[in-house]
Amino acid sequence: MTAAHLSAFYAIVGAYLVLVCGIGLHNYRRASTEEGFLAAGRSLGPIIGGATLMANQVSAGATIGMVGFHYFSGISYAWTWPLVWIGWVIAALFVAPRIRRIPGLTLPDFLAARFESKAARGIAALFILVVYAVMLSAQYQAGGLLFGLVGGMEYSRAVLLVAGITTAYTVLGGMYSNAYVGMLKAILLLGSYAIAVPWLLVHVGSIASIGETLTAIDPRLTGNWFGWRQLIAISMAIGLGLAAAPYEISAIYSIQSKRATRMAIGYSFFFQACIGVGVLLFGLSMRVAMPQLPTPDLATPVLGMSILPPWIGLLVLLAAVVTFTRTGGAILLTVASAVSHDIYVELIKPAASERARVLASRLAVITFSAIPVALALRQFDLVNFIVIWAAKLMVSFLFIPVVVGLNWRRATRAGAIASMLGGMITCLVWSRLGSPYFLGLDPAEAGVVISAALMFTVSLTTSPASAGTLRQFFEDPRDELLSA
Amino acid sequence: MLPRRVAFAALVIGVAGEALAQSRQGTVDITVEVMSDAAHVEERYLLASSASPIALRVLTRPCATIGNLALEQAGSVLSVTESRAGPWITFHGTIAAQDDSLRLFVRYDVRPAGTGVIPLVHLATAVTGNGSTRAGPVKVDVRVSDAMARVSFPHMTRQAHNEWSARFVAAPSFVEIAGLRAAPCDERVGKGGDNGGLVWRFFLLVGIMITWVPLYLAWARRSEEREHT
Repeated sequence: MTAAHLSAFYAIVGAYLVLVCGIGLHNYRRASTEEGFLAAGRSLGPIIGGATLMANQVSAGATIGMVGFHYFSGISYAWTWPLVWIGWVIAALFVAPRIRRIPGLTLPDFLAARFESKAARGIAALFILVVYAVMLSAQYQAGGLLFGLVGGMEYSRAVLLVAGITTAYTVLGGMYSNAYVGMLKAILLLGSYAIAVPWLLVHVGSIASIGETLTAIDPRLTGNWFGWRQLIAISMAIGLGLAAAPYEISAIYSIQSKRATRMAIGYSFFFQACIGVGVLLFGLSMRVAMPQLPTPDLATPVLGMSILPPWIGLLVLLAAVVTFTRTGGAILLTVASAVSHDIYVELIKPAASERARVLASRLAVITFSAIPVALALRQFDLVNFIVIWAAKLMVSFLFIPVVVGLNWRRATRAGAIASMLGGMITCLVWSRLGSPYFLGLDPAEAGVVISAALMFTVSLTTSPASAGTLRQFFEDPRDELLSA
Repeated sequence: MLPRRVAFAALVIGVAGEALAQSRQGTVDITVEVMSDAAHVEERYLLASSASPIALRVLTRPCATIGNLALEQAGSVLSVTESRAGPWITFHGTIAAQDDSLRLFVRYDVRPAGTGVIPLVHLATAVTGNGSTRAGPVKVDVRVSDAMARVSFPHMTRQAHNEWSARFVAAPSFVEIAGLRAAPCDERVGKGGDNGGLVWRFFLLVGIMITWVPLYLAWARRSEEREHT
């Protein structure tokens, strides 16, 4: 990349910053209430909602990490896309329609209301802080690698720059910014991939030619590097985790209606399909074009900087920048809500004014942006491994309490707490046993099984929730109207 | 604690033992001289010293033939054996031990045809630089004699009327020269090899995705209407 192209890259990133800050400032007043800041005033339509759901899911784990995964392991990881969608269907069927009935803003709000438990709220909020710090570190790491390579920056400075960009627009506009930048992210990703993929195929070769080249390197690249057992375990962790992921729940709260939520999930499938195919072809083509990269995570930055023509490359790089800053923003917002709303307002100072609540949210964004920086500077692993690891913990902890809590009247407070803690501890213990698939189970699967067993056994031996709470969750007001 | 857990996550999904090839520290200078119907390539390697077999690979194309390959160390030509796997050719040579650093010189001729693709021989292991992250350890210079020709892949910067240059973090497996008046070539020749099922897997995946989206949207619309009635 020449000095002129480097200047162009910084100019485009600068323009993006100005744009997102503009979006943030434009929405600053709308985000002056807690509901406005954390849930965009529940105003998002199906298309922007779909872009928001996609933008939360398609993180640096996809645009940088998954390209790297396809680079070193070939096509098989792409099957996780349709498998993960099963988790989205579960969300559409069993989570989204019911969770929107309660007037909450966050996932711990739901847990506290459904299980009549401040402890459940506090435990969930703390868990979100820890796991999302790890997940946010993956976004910062991806950003650090990209800015480090493209801009010739020191990695630590690059990580700080990415953290700064992410924090700035999240503080300014909250969920409103996230929603509109999510739409921008969808347009940029689709647009840049639509131009870059055909260009790459023209030069690198057809799918068949790429297949011949990769098969000769290792037949598993075009077949099953990951076996079905592994793919199902990873997809289950990510897909079921998404059905109960706090940032997706926050996005669902932000969409205007149940119908819009279901349609938004459909539109997000469209966005994901286009991005999934693009990411796959990027990874496979890069393995042919430059087979000896020092680390697979460099595939996207090198593609944008050294392979594609400058203006297409800049678009791909900008799309990656938007990806990790936008997903970072969604994660930061969820972490901020856990601190300001679930811990500060609900547990410490319930009488806090609306202004104090929003200020607490903004301060939480700034404070908790710093912790993942420290993690990202240590570069624990490939970006996608970090994302998968966080997803496994997430599904073990949250999936059963959320889905069973929404759909089984008999689920109790003690059952939910046992389920959350039991699932998480099992996942951690399973991971330390030293053998993948101990007793035939992946850590996430073991976590979900134990979490479910504890939820059902403990709930059946303890008192159910009060009638008022159950009515709120399990009786549709329309049923009452009809019976009247 | 965390690094061990994260490392274990890698183990869990079964790829920890599948790391990419080991890397070597060093720099590589590749010079490509392109005439209308032939190209001459010279590659200079400066690597951290190690006395061991060395492997170089090249991705052949149906319309480009490689010949006269020579691998030299300290002015003496090393004997090279050749093995083929699909479109890849691997050249194996044994290098002698040296005290501080290892200097290798590789030269070969390419006869491009059709699209003007010139395959580049590269080390079978990654080369990592030890300087700035941006200035990659692999430098490629291309000089063309044909005034109408230009480098079209990968992206390189025009330094002079007929010279292009770029630095990469790894060696590209080929450069493509557009506008080269090379001999015509039927690109279908040599094709039809084993693609390992990539084609049907790819189109099955795309087919599932294309089918899924409208099916889901139709279900979402119908379920909502059903609930309202």
